[in-house]
Amino acid sequence: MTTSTTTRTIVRTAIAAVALTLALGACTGSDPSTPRDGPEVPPPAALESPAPSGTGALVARSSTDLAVFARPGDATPTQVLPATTEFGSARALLIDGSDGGWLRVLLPTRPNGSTGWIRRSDVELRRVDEAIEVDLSARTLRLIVDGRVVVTAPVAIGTADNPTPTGRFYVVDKLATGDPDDTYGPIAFGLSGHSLELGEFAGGDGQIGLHGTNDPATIGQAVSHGCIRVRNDVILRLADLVPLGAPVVIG
Amino acid sequence: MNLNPGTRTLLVAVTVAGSALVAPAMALAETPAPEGPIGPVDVANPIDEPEPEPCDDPGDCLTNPTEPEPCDDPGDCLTNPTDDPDDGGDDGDPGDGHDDGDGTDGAPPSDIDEPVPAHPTFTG
Repeated sequence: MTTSTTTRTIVRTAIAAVALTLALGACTGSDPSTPRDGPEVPPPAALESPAPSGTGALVARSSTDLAVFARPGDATPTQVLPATTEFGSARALLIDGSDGGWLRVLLPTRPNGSTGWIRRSDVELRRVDEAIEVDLSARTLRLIVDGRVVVTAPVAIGTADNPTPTGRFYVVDKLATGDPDDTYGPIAFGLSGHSLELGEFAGGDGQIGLHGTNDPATIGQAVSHGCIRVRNDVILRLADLVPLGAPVVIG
Repeated sequence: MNLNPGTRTLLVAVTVAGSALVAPAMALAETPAPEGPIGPVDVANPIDEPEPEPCDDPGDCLTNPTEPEPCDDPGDCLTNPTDDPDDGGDDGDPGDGHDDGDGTDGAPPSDIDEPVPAHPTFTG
């Protein structure tokens, strides 16, 4: 056996050993699709692991006052939602069901999780491929677009006395405060959910917000009255990517 | 050496199992090496075999995890919009691509709304 042949034999033996090791390792249940999330929260806009939810939601848009009914086919509405919110945002309602020419929508009213029915012919439909998920225990937020996590960021959440409510909500308002040093930062999203503890706050009805902050040191802590705070660069990024009606799941 | 029957059986089993693992490696070691230069050691791409084609089939990515480009994340294949996991039936969900007569299918994507100048009264 020549030196060259001996070398090749050694290499092939090594390859066989490595292959055997890999084959045995594959039997231990290791998963190549395991998310690469590490202990550190990456900066916003970092491309992360795929997410199983958050795409293809339907949103009803209306430019006129919108009648809401208790049941499909009812003749008399239970309420009429103005064409815009109290802050001037266009009306957008997240749809979670349908029945013939009727759509069931999540209402931005108390109690959280309220639903009502609207006529399909009264609204325009838009598909929303963006969704926000807030993990209260991890105090992190993820923006999912087309099934992929495109933003991950730490958040501040409500205190034990004024906890951030959990559930499936959506973006009702996108407001520009005009001042990055504002307590809400430069941008504030109004959500469809409300505080379970506060019936009124700062002249409002206890609506939960997702907004920036002038005190970034609070991010990662449970310090708010129920709102979700993020760094200003994060809320600016979200404002560029998230439309009205986008689902916000808090859990 | 005096061994009780149980110990003797255990030793035989261990010896047989070890031989079963070593034999394939030894057989490979004895295989004549092909002529030509030795390239980089690449377990996924045996020597002298052509490089695998780019992964243009999402399903193939799932069964070929060693192919790094362009599907370096098998989960990406699962969410590839070219895949349609739906079975084609109408389950009544609005906007699922199956026309159930409620007019919810085929909705265009939403525009990204510009923020409205206003000061909020959210819970802060």
